[in-house]
Amino acid sequence: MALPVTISGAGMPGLNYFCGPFKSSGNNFYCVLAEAGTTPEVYKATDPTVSFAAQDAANNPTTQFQSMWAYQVADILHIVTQEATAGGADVRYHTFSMATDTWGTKDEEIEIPAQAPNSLTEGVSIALRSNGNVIVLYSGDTDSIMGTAWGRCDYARKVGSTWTVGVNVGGQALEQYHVAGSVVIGASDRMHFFWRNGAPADLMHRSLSSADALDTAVAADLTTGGDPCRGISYVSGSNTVVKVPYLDGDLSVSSVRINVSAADPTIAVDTAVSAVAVSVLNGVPVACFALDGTIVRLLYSDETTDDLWSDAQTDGGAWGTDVEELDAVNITRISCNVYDRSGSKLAYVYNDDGTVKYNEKSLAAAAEIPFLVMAPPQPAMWADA
Amino acid sequence: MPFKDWNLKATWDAAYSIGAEGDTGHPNTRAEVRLNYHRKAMLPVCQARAAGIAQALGWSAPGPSIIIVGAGFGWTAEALEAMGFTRVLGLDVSSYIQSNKGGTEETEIDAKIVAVGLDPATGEGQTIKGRLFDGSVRTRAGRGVLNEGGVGGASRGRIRQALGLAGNEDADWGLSESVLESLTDAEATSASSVAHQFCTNVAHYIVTLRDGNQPGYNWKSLEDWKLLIPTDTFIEAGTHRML
Repeated sequence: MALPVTISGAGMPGLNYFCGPFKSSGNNFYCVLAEAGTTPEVYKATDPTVSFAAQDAANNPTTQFQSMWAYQVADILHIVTQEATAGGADVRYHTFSMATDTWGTKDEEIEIPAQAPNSLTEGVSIALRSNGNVIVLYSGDTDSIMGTAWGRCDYARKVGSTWTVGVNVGGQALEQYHVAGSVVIGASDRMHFFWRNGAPADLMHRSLSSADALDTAVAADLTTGGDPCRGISYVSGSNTVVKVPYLDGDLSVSSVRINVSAADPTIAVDTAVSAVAVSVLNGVPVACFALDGTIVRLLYSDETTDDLWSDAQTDGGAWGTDVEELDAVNITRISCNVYDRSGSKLAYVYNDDGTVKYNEKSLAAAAEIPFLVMAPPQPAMWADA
Repeated sequence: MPFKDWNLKATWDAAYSIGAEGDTGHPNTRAEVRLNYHRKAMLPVCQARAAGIAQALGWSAPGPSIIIVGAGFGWTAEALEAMGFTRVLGLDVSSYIQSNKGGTEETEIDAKIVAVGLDPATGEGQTIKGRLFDGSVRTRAGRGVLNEGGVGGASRGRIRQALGLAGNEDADWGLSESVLESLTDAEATSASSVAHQFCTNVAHYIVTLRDGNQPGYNWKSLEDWKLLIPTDTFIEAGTHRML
């Protein structure tokens, strides 16, 4: 069978998301999607060029979500969702085992905001420390000041079985509307939080140490057009580099770059990473980063045609020339990852005119590598796989 | 008639509801303690307002003479004083403000802690109370918050005296703090006229029309306020954009 492969019956989130795809230790492939566009569902392929099938579908979570983010640690997918029902914004946690193809934790309450954020400003993201602590960034309770609701970007952490929630990363009691967000793990389990302050439209950053100490919230860009989306990190020399794409004020994808992950880091911005304006869904750009060794791969959908484009940036290098990957499509969501499947692949799941599909771009075919110069495995390739 | 009756505590409670544990977080087995128009929750708001207003209007300490109209318990005046401004006076004619400005928030904060299932006298509840209540009164601005509206010569005289102005000297700035949103257009225009009788310049700090506005106020864009009262300066909450 040829790619792309349709994932029948699946949907993708309407707001902030990362859906994979992921590769298990058993060499199977998974996407975290939505059953009929409502509740979380994990789809598996033993050969993704053939078909995907829903797993443990009778036991999937019941949360109906707007925003969903999945994060892989070994064979466990850690998933966070934010509810979609009117007036609700419940943030919940779930796990799925790719070893047994079964759900584990389901619908575990992280927080039910007492004053829910605007339903179009919900957003969640998740990452885990090396000790298993779960860190979730989310749009939390709003604060009412002078008869007006102002949005908060909060984080929650799970240590053991205990959740501490509602830590306001944007700052206490502000007449500003903050919207979550994207979290990327940096050096020494430091969590880098990126989110939007919608009034004004600033891209914000703050990081959390492994000892739960927050550094200073700063604006990385004062003229954004929307939200950050899935970023990556990798080790470069003695430093950990963090890069996150976001919708810039000119509606192109720009990238925040932290060359040395640390408290109060120096933050650079690479503007106009995409050559053209990108498609936007509810403030979230239709774009995604994936990590290929120390190369950052970008996939995005352009605003004019909704076709799929790619670009790449080497470690310390410049962004390249945009390449059209798919023509005559209508891509409104994209989520991508890099893994080895008969050679290194940029694998992606996307919504094409209402149909969810899986596809790949070959990065380096194993058979084409001269046997005398075959490179050793690169651990960083699996850092976020 | 104003859209809101700020003599009522219920009006303040409906307009202000702020999470009070965002600096530390809280266990998800209970709700976050939320405050209303209370000092611990509002002081960061007022500090941001003070800094933004001073920057927008070009104030530098010890700065101009400033009268804040609709000052509430005077926390923005307090924040300006903390920035080094020495001639700041708050006014508020709300009977709720005047009746409570000299008292503490202890009873109300205790009730907020009890509302999430904790005891303010022991354990976690006591710790939270220690963070939210420092034992002092609500109003701490150096010149207090006067119950004056500036209508009539006698009122203006008391205001000038409290601010240390000589004779009929006007204050450099009159600043309304989230006042106009509760007034009709005619009332807002009239309030501006009153302020001009004892202030050389008049500015208004405004929460503008946006998602999240509760119904029942006179929400407008910054541009529409400027159109209504072209003589005055308007500063938008949050952005501190100025027209």
